Amino acid sequence: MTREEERAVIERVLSGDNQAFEALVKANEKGVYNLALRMLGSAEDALDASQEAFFKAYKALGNFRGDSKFSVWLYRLTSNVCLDMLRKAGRYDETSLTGEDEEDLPLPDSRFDPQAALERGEVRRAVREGLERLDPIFRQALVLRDVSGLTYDEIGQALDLEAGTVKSRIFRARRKLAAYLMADGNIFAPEPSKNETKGGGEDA
Amino acid sequence: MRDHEYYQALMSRLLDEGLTAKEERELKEHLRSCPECAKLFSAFSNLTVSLREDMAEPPAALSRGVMDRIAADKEERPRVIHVQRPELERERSKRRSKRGWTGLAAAACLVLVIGGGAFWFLRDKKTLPLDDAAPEAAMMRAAENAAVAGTGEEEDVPEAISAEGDAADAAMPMTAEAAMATPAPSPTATPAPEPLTVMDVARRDVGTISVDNIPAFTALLEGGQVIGGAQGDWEFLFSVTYGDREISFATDENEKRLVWWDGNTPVTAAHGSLESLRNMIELSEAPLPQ
Repeated sequence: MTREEERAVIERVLSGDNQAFEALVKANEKGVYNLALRMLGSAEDALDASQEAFFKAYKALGNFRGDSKFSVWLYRLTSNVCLDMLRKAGRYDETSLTGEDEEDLPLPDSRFDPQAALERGEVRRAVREGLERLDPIFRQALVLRDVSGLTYDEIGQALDLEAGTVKSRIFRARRKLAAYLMADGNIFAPEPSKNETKGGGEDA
Repeated sequence: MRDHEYYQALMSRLLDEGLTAKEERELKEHLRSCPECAKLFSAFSNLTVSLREDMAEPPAALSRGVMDRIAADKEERPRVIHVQRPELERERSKRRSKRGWTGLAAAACLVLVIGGGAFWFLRDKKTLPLDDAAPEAAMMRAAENAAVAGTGEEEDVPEAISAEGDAADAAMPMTAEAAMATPAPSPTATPAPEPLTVMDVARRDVGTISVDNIPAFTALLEGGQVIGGAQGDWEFLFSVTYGDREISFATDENEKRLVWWDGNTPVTAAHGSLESLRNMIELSEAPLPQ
């Protein structure tokens, strides 16, 4: 759906044609659902969150001014719904966040062999698991990037963050995820890494 | 030699927006000499590809559920009244010449709503029933591109009804009740023993604005700011006519300032929008300039 088509549909909904909203749902449900699925980790929760996000979008449609893409606006709502759900489920406590994650990064173990990557399905499962272990704030940035396909700028719009912060969160999310995948021996390393060296270490 | 973190950040960016030729050279060079980073790069690539490819099909229940919920939604949707854009644009250019705040206020005809369904009316001041006997004041409020946070709950989200085709993006949300309500009563003609303050006027005219609910007042302003501010040009302003004088307030989100005018004379100005609004409320407790 082009932005013009989107605008036209939105106008129709706003002028009372509620059924027209379905076109917006259809055009965006895959993106919204997958965002919610990766944020929440369960298909059932993802369905609830997606429906809630679309309903909120429907109710708040008059607030959408077209300054950003409709999808970006929608992902913002979705991502907030997901954080709310995590919060209610006690899986997210924003007061515990420092905003910066200085946890030591285990560098990859030397036994790591990219050629030994397991089957794709196994990698996916491990990545999903790793994702769930990430702090929701980092997960959110990474999922908006890699699942929703937003640019740094768009993520910044969706989350009210500077593009630099977005970039940094995504980078940190990837490092943590990679570290998890390698250290836990899930896919990239057969045994937990003992190497805690971080930046500035030896150059081989 | 730069540290590993620098190269790792490059890897991450490479996967997203790409690198400059120079950065790419640097990274390649480093990866050749650093097996640790090379492994991490491989891990980054793998997990990124995995994430990007791992897409599920949404269940059919999704859109059906949304549309059912919309169909079942009996709540009358709040409406948005659009400001007549051309007038605002004209007034906007006037304001650059230090006049026109009140003109702008008069030009727009808007209704704002806060939590309990109370409303502030902005009317053409020529039609305001001013009481000549008392230093009676009428309050006018205009806002452009300002959305008002009602109770802060979802129930107040607006729907727009384009009253004017050319007014598409100057929108004010209001609750359904207010949309259908008749205009607020004119200010009661209670003689003021003390000099009136702006807030006195606001309280009287608005009814719901009182010392006790000044937070609601701020919430209203904040609501306007959050939504409008995040989305670009936003202003909030209102004017008070006091006898034959006009006191006008405005914030300019672009210029980050608040200005309080007495007629054509700027009385005070502050910087930093939200703080300014709070200051404004404090200032407003001071007697009107004599």
